[in-house]
Order: sequence, then C-alpha cells, then structure tokens
Amino acid sequence: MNGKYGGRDEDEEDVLAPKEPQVTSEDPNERKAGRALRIKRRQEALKRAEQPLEEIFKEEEPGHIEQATTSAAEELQRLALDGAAKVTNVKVTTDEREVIRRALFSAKMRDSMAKMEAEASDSQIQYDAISVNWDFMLAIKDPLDIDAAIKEQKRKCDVVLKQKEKLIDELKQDLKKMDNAYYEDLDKQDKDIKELSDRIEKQLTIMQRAYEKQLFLIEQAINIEREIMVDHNNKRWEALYKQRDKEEVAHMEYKFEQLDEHKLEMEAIMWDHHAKYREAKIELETLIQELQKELEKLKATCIINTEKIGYNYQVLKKREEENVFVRSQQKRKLNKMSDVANTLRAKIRKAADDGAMEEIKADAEIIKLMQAMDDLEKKCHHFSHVNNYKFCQVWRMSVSRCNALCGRVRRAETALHAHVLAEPPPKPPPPPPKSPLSKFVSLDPVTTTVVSGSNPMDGKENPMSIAAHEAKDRLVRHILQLIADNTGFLVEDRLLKLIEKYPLTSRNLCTLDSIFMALEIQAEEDIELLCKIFLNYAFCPICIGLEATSDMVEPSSLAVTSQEESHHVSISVKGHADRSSTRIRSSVVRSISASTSRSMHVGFRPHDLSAADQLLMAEADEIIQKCGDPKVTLAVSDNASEGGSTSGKRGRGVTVASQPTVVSPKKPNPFLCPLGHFLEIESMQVLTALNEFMSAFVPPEKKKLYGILDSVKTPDFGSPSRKLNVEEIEQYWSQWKNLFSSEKDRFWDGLLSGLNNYLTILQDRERIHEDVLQLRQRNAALRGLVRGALPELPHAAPRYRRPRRTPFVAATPDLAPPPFAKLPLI
Amino acid sequence: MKIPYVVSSNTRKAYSTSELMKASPGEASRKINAEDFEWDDELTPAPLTYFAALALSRIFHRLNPLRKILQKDIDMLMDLYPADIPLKFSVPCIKDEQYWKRSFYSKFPSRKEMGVSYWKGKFLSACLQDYLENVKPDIFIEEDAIELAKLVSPYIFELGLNQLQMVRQPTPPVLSEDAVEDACVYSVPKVYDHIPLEPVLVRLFNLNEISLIFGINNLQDGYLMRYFEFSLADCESLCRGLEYLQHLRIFRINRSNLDCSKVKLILQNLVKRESIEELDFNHCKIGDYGMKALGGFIFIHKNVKRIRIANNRFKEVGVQGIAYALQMKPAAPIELLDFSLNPMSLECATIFAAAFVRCKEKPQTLIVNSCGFHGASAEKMAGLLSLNRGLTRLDMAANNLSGEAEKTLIQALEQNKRVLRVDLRSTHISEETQAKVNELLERNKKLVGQETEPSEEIPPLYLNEPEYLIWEYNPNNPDYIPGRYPERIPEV
Repeated sequence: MNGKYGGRDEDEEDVLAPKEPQVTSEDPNERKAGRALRIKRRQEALKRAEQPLEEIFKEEEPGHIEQATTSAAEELQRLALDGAAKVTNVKVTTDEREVIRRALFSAKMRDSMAKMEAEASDSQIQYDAISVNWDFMLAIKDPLDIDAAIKEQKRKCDVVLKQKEKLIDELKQDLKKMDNAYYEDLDKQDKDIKELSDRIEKQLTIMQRAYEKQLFLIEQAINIEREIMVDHNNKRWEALYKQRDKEEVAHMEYKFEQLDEHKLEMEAIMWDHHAKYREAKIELETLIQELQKELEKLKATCIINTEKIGYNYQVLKKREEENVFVRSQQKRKLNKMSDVANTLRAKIRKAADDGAMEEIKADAEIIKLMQAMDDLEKKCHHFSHVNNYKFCQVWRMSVSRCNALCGRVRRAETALHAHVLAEPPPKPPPPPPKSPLSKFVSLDPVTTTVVSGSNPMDGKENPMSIAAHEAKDRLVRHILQLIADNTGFLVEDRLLKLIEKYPLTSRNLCTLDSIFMALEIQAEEDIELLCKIFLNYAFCPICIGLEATSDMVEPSSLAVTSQEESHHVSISVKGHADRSSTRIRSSVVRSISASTSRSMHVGFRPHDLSAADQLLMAEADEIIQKCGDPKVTLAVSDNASEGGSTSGKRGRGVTVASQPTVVSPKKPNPFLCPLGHFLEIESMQVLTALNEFMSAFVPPEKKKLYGILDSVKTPDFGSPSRKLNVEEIEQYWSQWKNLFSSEKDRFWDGLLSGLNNYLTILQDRERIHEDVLQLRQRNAALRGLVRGALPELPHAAPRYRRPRRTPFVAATPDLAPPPFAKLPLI
Repeated sequence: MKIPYVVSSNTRKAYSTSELMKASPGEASRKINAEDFEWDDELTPAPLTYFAALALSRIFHRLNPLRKILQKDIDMLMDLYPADIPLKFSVPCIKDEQYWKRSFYSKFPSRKEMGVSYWKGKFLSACLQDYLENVKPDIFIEEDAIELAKLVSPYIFELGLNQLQMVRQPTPPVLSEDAVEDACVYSVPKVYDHIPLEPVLVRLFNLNEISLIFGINNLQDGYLMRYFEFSLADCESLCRGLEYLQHLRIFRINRSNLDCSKVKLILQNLVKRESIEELDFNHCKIGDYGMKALGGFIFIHKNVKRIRIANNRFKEVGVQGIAYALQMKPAAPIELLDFSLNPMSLECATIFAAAFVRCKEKPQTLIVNSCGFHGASAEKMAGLLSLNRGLTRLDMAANNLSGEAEKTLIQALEQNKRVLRVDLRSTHISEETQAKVNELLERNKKLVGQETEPSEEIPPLYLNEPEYLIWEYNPNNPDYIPGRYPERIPEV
C-alpha cells in the first residue's frame, strides 16, 4: 500500500509540485530547508522592489509587445519630426525669401536714394546757376534782351524740370515694379499657404497611415504572444489531464484491492461475533433465573414492610393531630403576647413622648428661671449698688456732721481758752479716725496693677531665642516618634500592615493620627501639655557621662551642700514649675545613668506591675541605693521626714538637681540641657509618661463640661458697705465719740457748772442794773418836775455810758487743722 | 435607447460584441440581443423622462432643476439645453463640460479647437473675446463689460484678442457761412484709442495667459492705416489692468504697432509681476530703444523664461542691450530667445558671440532664423558653440552658412557635447557637412545623462587666464572667430 501511495506521490511531484523542500512536510530537515528557501525568496523580492523600474525592465527579456511598442514609438517620433521639418520648411523658405527681399529692397533703396541725392545736387547746381542769372537780368534794360534772357532762363528751368520728371518716372517705375513684386509675393504666399496645407494634409495622412501600421504591428505582436501563451498553457493543461487520468486509474485499482481486504476482514469478524453472542446468551439466561428467585424473596419482605409502615402511619397521624392542637394553642399565646408587647411598646413610646415633652418644658422652665435669676441678679446688683450708695451718703453725712461738730467743739474750746481761761489754745485734738470704707475703695486698683505687672515678664521670655524653638521642635518630634514607636497597641494591626511599605515619616503620621484619636488629643495645647510632661523624663545623652563622672569624683563634698540646699530650694522653688521640672529631669537623667531598674521604678506606677515584680523592684532599688550613691538614700530619708509634699520620685529628684540649679541659676532654655545639647527620652519611659499625661490631661469634651460648671458661680453681690461688719462700724463711731478725752469733758462740765452759776449772778446784776437805770430816769424826771421853770442845764453825757467793746478775739491763731478739709470720698 | 454622452464612444466600441461572436453557432439564432442598445430607436416613442427633460430644457431661465434630479437626468438635460441660455443663468449653475462644448461649437462654428481640457473656460473666454473684439469704442458701455467680466472671471485662464475696434476719427466742424474756423482735415488731432481694457482685466483674477493684437481683421475695402495704430492711453489702460493679474504667466502682443515708448511703458509695469514667464512681441516695432528696455527687464526680472522678439526692426544697439543683460548673469532662468527675422550685421554677430561665450548656462535655446548671417558673421555664430555649454538647441535656418562657416561649425560641434539640435535648413551647406553635423548631434544625444568632466568641456586656458584677455581671442573682437584657437600648450 505504502509503495503505491509513494508512487503516486512521485508522479504528482513529477508534473505539478516544484521539487523544492516544503515547509509543510513531515521531515524536519526538509522543513528547515523550506523555511530557508522562503526567507531567501522574500529577501530577493524586497531587493527587486527596491531596484528602479528600468533595471527590472532591463533584466526581463523584452517581449514581443514591448519590442513592437518601442519600435513603433521610435518610428512615429522620427516620422513626426520629419513631418514637422517638412511643414516648417515652408516657413523657412518664405523667411529666406523675405531675407533676400529685404536685402534687395535695402540695396535698391540705397541705390535710389543715392541716385536721388545725386540728382538733387545736380539740380541744385543748375538752380543756383539760374538764380544767379536773375541778378544779371535786372541790370538789362533792353526789353528784347530781357525777353531773350527770360527765354534762356525758361529753357534752363525746363531742363531741370525734365530731369526731375525723369527721376520721378524712374521712381514710379520702381514703385510699379515693387507693386508687381508685391502681387507676385502675394501669389507666392497663396501658393505657400496652399503648399503648407497640402503638406499638412499629406503629413496627416502619412501619420495616420504610420499610426495604423504601427497599431497593426502591435496587434500582430500581441496576437503572436497570445498564441504562444495559449500553446504553452494548452501544453500544460494536456500534461495535467494526462496525469489526472493516470492517477485516476491508479487510485481505482488501489480502491478495489482495499475493498477485497475489507470483505475478508468482515467475514472473520462476523464469525467471531457469533461465537461470542452464543456464550453471552447462555450466561444471561442463568442470571435471569437467579434474579427471579431473588424477586420472590423481595416480594415477601415487602409485604411485611407494608404492614409495619401502615402501623407507623397510624401512630404518626395521631401525633400529627396532637401537634396541630399544640400549635394552635401556641399561636393563641403568641397573639396574646404580641398584644401585650404592642401595648408595652405604645406605653414606652408614650412615656418617651412625655419625657421629651417634659424635657422641653423643663428646658423652658430652666430658661425662664435663668432669666428670672438673671433679673434677680441684676436687681440685686442694682439694689446693692443703691444700698451702698445710700449707705455711703449717710456715712458721709454723719462724717460731715461729726466733722462740723468737732470743728464747733474745737472752736468753742479755743474760745473758751481765750475768753474764759485766758490761755493759749490747747493741743489740737487727734485727727479724725480713718474710715473703714476707704480701704475697700483703695484695694481694687492695686490688684489690677499687680496683674498687669506680671505680663511683661512673659513678653521678655518669648523672644528668648530661636534656638529654643528649634530645640522644642526637635524634642516634640522626638517625643512623637517615641510615642509612635511604643504605642503599637493603640493602633490597629491591619493599619500597621497596610502602612508597612511607606516611608517612616508617613508611617509615623498615620500611627500618630490613630494614637491621637485613641487618646482624644486634638488641640495644640494638648501637645504642649504632652511635651511638658515628657520633658520631665528627658535627659541629655551627652552630659550624662560627664555628670556621672563628676558625681563619682566628689560625692562627699556635694552631699552636705546638696542636703542643705535641698531644704531651701524645695521651699523657695515650690511655686515655680519650670525649675522643679528641670530638677526632675536631671533626676531622671541620673536615674537612667545609674541603672535601668531605678528608671523602671521611676517610670512605672506600682499598680502597673504585679506583686512579684514590685517586690523584685523594691529589692533591686534598695541594693542600688545602698551601693550606688549614699547621698541619694540620705536625700530620700530626708525627704520622707519632710512630709513628702512632693511625690517620691520628685523628692529624690530635688536632692540631685540642686547642684545644677545652684550652679546655673538662670536657665534660658528648658528644651536643652544646661550645656546646650539636645535632650532625649528613653523609650522605656514613654508609657509611664503617657500614663502621667493621661492622668493630667483632660479630654476636650470633659473640659468643656468643667468649664460650664466653673462658669456657674454664685454671683458676688458684695459691696464695700456690706463688707463692713458691725464691730468695725461701731469702732469707727466710737473713735469719733472718743475724739475728745473724758478729762476735757469733765473740765468742760466743771466749767459749765461754774459758768451757770456765774450766769445767775450776772442775771441778777443785770436786773439790778436795769432797776438802777429806771430809778435814775425817774429821778431825773422828778427833778425836772421839781425845778419846773429852772433853765435848761447843759446836757451832760452820763459817765457810765461807755462805748461798746468789741468782743474778745483770741490773740493767738488756732493751729489746729480743720477736722476734715474734705469729706472722705466713698 | 439613447446612450448618454458620458459613456464615450471608445468605451462602447471596446465593449461591443465582436462579429465573430455574433456569428458563432450558439449566438446566431438569438432573437433578443441584450447588448443591442438601439433596437427600439425606430419602434417605440422616447421615454417620458426624455420629454420631461425636453420641457425643462426650454425653461432653464425660469426653473433650475439641476439640484433636485438624478445624475442620469442631468446628463440627459446637458445634451438638451439650448446653447443660447443667457450667461447670467448658465454660468453659475451649469458645470457640465458637455454643455459648454456643445455651446462652443454651436456659437462659434468656425473655430476649431484641439486639446481643450476645460470647455467652460474656453467658451466663456471666447464669449468675452467676441464681445471685446466687436464692441465699438464709441458705444462702449463700461458697466456691461464689467458685468460680463465679473460673471466669467473665475473661469477664464486664457484670453486672446485678435482684433480691437477703434474710435471714430473726429471730423472737422462743418463749415458755416460766417464763422471763421479751421476746417482742415489734417488740423484735427489724430486719435487712435481703443476700448479701455482696464475695467475688464481688473476682474479677470485667474488669468494666466493674454494675447493681444491691435488691429482690425477683414477690412477689405475699408482699409485705413490708422486702424493699425494704438495710443499710449491704450497702453496705460492695459498696464493698469495688468497690475491686478496675480497669476499672469504669458503676455503676448503680436503684429501691432508697438513702438519703443509703448513697450517701455508695458515693460515697466510688467517687471513688477513676478509671475511672468513668457514675453512675446513678435512682429512689432520695438526698435533699439525698446530692446534696451527689454534688456533691463531681463536683468531685473526673476522669473522670465521665454522671450520672443522676432521681426522687430532692431539693430546693433538693441542686440547689445540684450547681450549686456545676458552677460551680467541675470537671476531669471531664461530658456529661450527668439531673434528670428531681424537682419543682423557682423557687429551683431560679434556681440552675440561675446554674450553667449560669457553667459554659458542660461539660455537653452537660441533662435536666429533668417537673420541674414553670411560669411564672417555666420562663422561667428557657428563658432560660439565651441565655447558655450548652455545651448541645447540652435536654430540658424535661412542663413547663408556656406564656405568657411561650415568648417567652423564642424569644429565647434566637435568640441560641444551639449547641443542636441541645430537647425540648418536653407543654409546652403554641403551634404557632407549636414551628414557630419547629424553624426555629431547623434553622439551628443547619446551622451545625455552621462556626467562629463568639466575640464573636458571648456578649456580653462582660454577662460580666465591672461590669454583670454588678449584682444585676439576676445569675443568682442570682430575678426576673431570663437573656438578657433592656437594649439594648446600644456601648462608647466
């Protein structure tokens, strides 16, 4: 079979397929060769496309058509050129003729001009001769002579005229000739044009013929080529047909053979199949019998099962009924319960509504009450003010009255002394008592000045240095970094995983954000507070070593001084948080430098640790204290005896910190160590510090509440008048009362009684005096009556009538100041 | 069925069934021929569309259906529209070439045109030409001309005027009895005015080519000398019109009384037009002065390529003007100079030779047909080929080249490998010379496209070396024949 297939393939290849390696063949080597061939061909095609067209034409063998067309084109071009030359020949000849004509014409023109000029000169000479003759003629007197002369002249003129006419005739003849020549030329032109048209026509016909001929030739060439191609193709076709026939015969033979083989195979298979079929049939029949037996068995069991199932069915039916009953009961219960629930819900809603209403009402009431309170407060203020005012008025009135009374008393006293006792005036009374009111008045402005005075101090500190700011920024950054590193438990694990791949700064930002959210830190002041608290734990990593060495060198000398100073420092510095903080910081530094266990002790609150840990720590602490530096233990005991106003760690801090505070009392920058290094915080203390911060830090919402509570204070209605207590008032007025001493009173009483006695005597004397006067008058009147007519005696003035004396005025001035130059202001 | 004109007859011929096929036994018995388009021409009336189109074609001035109907109907209509539709309606609406072709042949049956590619432009140009050629200047209405020019201006690329009517010569006043007046015919000033071309030319913004002939055709007995004059005013009007033609390439004035002052005026205006490529003043009267102006034009202009000044009555001075311009190596890419039919002397030939020896690249073609060269002058003209390398064509027909000039020509051609065509008809040369010339020209034609050594081309010895300056070999020497050199002595 294979051989036959192969044979057929060879035949095919012989005729049709090119004997080239095929890409589709089974043999890998052949495939490779085929691919190489394909690539080579493609490259060749590309090269051919790049080459200019001409070369391609050159390469190709020119076919019949090309040959015919090129030869036709050449032939036609030659013919066209010839034709054009023939046609333009006419123009050339005419041009040539024209050139000759022009040359002749110009020659002739020159000749005739020369002739004319010669003639003109000749005639001019003759004319001159004639014109000269006229002068001679004028001299002639004889008419006959004149006539003869005139005739002679006329003759000469005729000769000249004849000459001229001859010339004119010649010229006219020339003109005629030229006219004739012109006509001839016209004829020639006509002829030329005719010839031109003839030639053009001829040329046209020639060209037409040439074109036809060439077309015919080209067609012939095309036909020849076509026939050649047809022959060639027919041959190919015939070969193909032959091959096809051959193949068909071969194929048919092959098919017949195959058919026979198939038939034989089929028979064998049939036999085989038959045997197998019989075997299978027997086997299957035995199987059927067994299966029938089993079927019988199964039938019996089925009957039993049906009975069982029937019983079960009955039981289940009953149960079902019970279930239905129970279910209905449950349903009813459920309904009831839902009713109850509904009513309860309604109640709750109602209660909520009521509550809301009540709330609103209460709110309104509160507002009303607040308003009423406000009013009341206002009224209170008003009344207190009024009261105060009136009180002051009354106060001042009584003070003025007292003053006036005092004045009067003083004046009376001086008068008494002058008039009655004839003594210099006594010592002035003590100054009037100080009003208790005035101290309230003077108190307020003082406090305000105190307050204002404190401000510039802050302002001075602010521009202290930019370095402080820088240091602070750095410290804050450090603190935040520490917080971000050490408080992973505040951040969600998932967030941490998410931000793992980002750079450190942005990671810190994220963690800090979440930490602040957890701690409820919101404002910058909170950060300030945080910073402040962390500052307590800050230490300078550079200075630690130095300090430690210095401490180790002179522990004994420092011990006493530090102890001494610790007392007064702790007392003097109590108010200043900053300084104490620095001390604390340095204590922390010390503790860190000394040991970590102590720092642990410092950092953690006891309740943060388990009991065992605490015990361990205490032990470690003790050991360290004993062997490390005895000064500290002393300080601790000292502090403990002091009463522990500060916490334990602070106390310890104070003792240690006393030295730097004394050495450099003026500390410009709290964010730098005394030597100007940047501070750092150990990461172990971060949690402690945070704890402390949390205890100190009030979250903003709570703060708000506290603020509200703080703002609600009982209003202060105290006015100066109210502030006075009864004793003060009484004391004040009693002072007034006791302004003049009791001795004086008694003196004045005595004086009064004496004067009173003296008054009665005086009164008696006055009465007697008046009686005397009366008597004198009566006496005088009686004497008048007695005398009667006695002459009028000169009136003598009574001796007892003396001019009235001016009242006594004290000779010495009163040096006492007026009791009150001015009323005290309220 | 009528086959529309858009199907060309050649196509039909090419696709028609061959006789052989028709006669073949399978085909011969057929009754119905699908390929026979004319089967019903005599049998059935024309289709209704045809009649509708016929009706439409008569009322084009009232109804323009072209935008609403199918293309096949438009094709039909184009065959039916009469040629006398007023231009006012047809110009803006009809684009079809067939219509314009038909119109052209129906309106100008005497004109035969070949190779027309744009019939609309041709027709409209012919209409304008017809109007301008025949309008009388005395009854010329400028508005009409402007209107026509406006209508046709976008389509006109060429305009040729073969004649122009002239104004009437005013006659002296009629003698009255008592008035004393000058009644002499000759005392009336002569007028040679034509219609002003300016208003028309200004509007022809697409014009590429303009040809003018001032004169009147077919006068027969009414011939007057004055009809072939034209005035400076005409020239000025023409120049004003030319100012607006941005695309003008070819300018012709032929067979006119174009004297030196007019040509100067025209050239002064044309020199501003950068687009000018060809100047054609054949058969005018430019004269020496005009030639000088033309020389100046060539010297200044940047784009002029072809100059034709055949039969223009100029002499040595004029030739010198042109020669000077050529010697100065002008910027213009001059290709062709036509000096034919101007009689030239030996001096002219000397000047020519000097110019073409010095300007070796510029003109490719020199035409000096029928210039009356003979003897020494012919020798000079033939000899210039030995030193010039620009010329590819030299036309010297109808000059007398017999005698010494033949030898000179052969010598010159042996040295020149550039020239391809030399027209030597009617030059009285011998057959051998002609054969030799043809042989040499064939050699040159084969050399086209091949690079030649520049040293081979022009002997450097005679160009810029002192020998060149010797009067004996100076091209300006009238006794010197260019190319005739002593033996070359190789330089040491």
